Amino acid sequence: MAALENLIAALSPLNFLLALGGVIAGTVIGSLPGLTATMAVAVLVPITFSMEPASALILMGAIYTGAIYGGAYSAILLNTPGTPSAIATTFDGYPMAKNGDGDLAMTLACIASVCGGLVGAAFLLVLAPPLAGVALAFGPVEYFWLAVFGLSLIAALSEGHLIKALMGGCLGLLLSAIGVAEVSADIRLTFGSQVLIGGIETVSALIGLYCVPVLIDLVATPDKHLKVTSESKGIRLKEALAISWRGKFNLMRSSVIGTMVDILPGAGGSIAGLVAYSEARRTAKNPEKFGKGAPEGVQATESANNATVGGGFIPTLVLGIPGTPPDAVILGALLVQGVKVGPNLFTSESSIVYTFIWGLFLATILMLPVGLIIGRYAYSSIIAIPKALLVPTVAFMTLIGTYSIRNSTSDVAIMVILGSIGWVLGRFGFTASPIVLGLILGSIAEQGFVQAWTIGAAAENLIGMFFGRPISLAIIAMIVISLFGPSLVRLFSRSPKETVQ
Amino acid sequence: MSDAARKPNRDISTPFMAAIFIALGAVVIWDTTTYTDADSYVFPRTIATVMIGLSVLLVLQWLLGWSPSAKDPGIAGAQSVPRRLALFAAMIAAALAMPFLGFLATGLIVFAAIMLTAMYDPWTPYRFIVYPVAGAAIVGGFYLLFARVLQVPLPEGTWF
Repeated sequence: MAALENLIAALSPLNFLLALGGVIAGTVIGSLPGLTATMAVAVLVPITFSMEPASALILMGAIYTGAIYGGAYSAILLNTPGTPSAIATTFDGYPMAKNGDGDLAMTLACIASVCGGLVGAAFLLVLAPPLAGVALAFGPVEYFWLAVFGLSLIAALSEGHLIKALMGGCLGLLLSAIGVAEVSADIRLTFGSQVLIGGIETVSALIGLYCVPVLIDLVATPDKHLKVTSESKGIRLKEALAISWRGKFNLMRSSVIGTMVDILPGAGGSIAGLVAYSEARRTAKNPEKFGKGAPEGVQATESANNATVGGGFIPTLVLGIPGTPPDAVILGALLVQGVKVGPNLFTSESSIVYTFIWGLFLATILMLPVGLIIGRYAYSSIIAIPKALLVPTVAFMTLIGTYSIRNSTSDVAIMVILGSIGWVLGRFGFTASPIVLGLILGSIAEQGFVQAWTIGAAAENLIGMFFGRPISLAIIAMIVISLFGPSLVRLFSRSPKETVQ
Repeated sequence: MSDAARKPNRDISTPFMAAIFIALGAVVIWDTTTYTDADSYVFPRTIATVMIGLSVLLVLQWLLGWSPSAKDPGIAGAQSVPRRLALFAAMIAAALAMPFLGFLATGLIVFAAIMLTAMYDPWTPYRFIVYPVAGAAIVGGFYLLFARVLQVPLPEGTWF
């Protein structure tokens, strides 16, 4: 009966409007490059202080889930992830848009995001306390291997140039090391420049590396930005539903991956999306289509990154450890409200928690109509805007978005320079994605590596530290499968005749 | 047949890029010698070493002719290099001018500059009126969204 009461409370007109408004605001903010889900939640948090805790949580959860989904818009239409968790959406979403299937990609992303969000919320509803224990089983070395697992995706993104992709990954890792070292506070790779002491801001770099090359190529020719088909196909919902149904296992697997990865504090939606993408590619019948506009790639990333919303709330609410930066903002807002998070929250203040979880379900379901409507207009606007207005608008958005992250004009200059370097490297076969992967995963990999190294050295058991823990071994096995699995399968699946030939 | 005619057209960009990455790795390793703590240098030094190793491997692959066909780094004649350079110059100038001109003025100027750069269609009276007005509305709208609604402290400028 209590569950029904909480469900009814979540469906009150006020909570319904808050969920709807939150999803719309989050989607719009998340779609702008540079405005992350963290910023969307942080900016709107003060509104929640005067609300009931459950309503406040519903609004923040709706903004968060909308912003994560909104990141797909610019990823698909502009090759610029609106939020870091949409990085892998660019891999297939943008090629789909370039091939004239941008409308389909937008609808697929919306359906996948809703599926992922529902799975994440279901895990939060049913399994939150036991799953929170998983987070505590992860030590520094497991985080290191998890980051390496993310980096193993470089092999998948190499486009036939594995060595160049690995070199790009190394460049990204080195870029992540610029500034003050997190473990020992040495100033690294700044060469005396004050500007670089703060390091390279990840989202700025991401905007530069993905968006500036697109702009540079756009101004160079009078061609249209995206291929436009002769007749308008609308949102192509039937087609998208059919593809989603065919890819239901991919959707479910990616959603579970997203939830499980974001139970780990600090892992973040970008790792979840990358790991899910990697798995989708590894298990696909036609992995060679990935990176060229495979709908499965968009489905995997978008379901995984929206599943992180529910997953990230598990350690936040059960352990008081925020799973992601937006969770940290929400945790702060809850403390202001006087809500004590921790293992007892699910019993002592169950009405708040369960009303919120039902509210999260509601917000996720509302994302379907909201996403389809906004997505349709976003796509039709992008293809209708003349190039002379589209290019300066996107360029201006990159400038203001980058500036607003740390209120720094230096970040804007770094963004433009990195983007131009990325364009030059792209001309020589060094793609942006491995560099971005290295940049994003670098700090997690380094922290995990250095801490594990220090502990292992102190215990005089370095090998045991890195290779002797069960979870580490499981992740290492996944890395090996991810890197060499497809080649081995191809090798063994050849018929003896083919092998002789 | 002469030797020159028999030899395949080698792409020299590969060893050139490998040399740049090797130099970059060497600079990183040199920089790590100034760090005080092993925790600081172990990671960048390892990565730089791996990067140099990979670059050497790339050169070997190129020498042995095993490298996959490289993308032509040349810029096709139909694509405009001056426009590309103008876009880069406008964006970098915007970053440098913001503290002096303020965000709004910089935004309007850079929008106009990039609009001219990206303009391929002829300037009709309609476009002459609508495009600048639309540009001003977009810049003004984003400025209000960030400065007033999202409370981002955008640069005000010291010259005005």
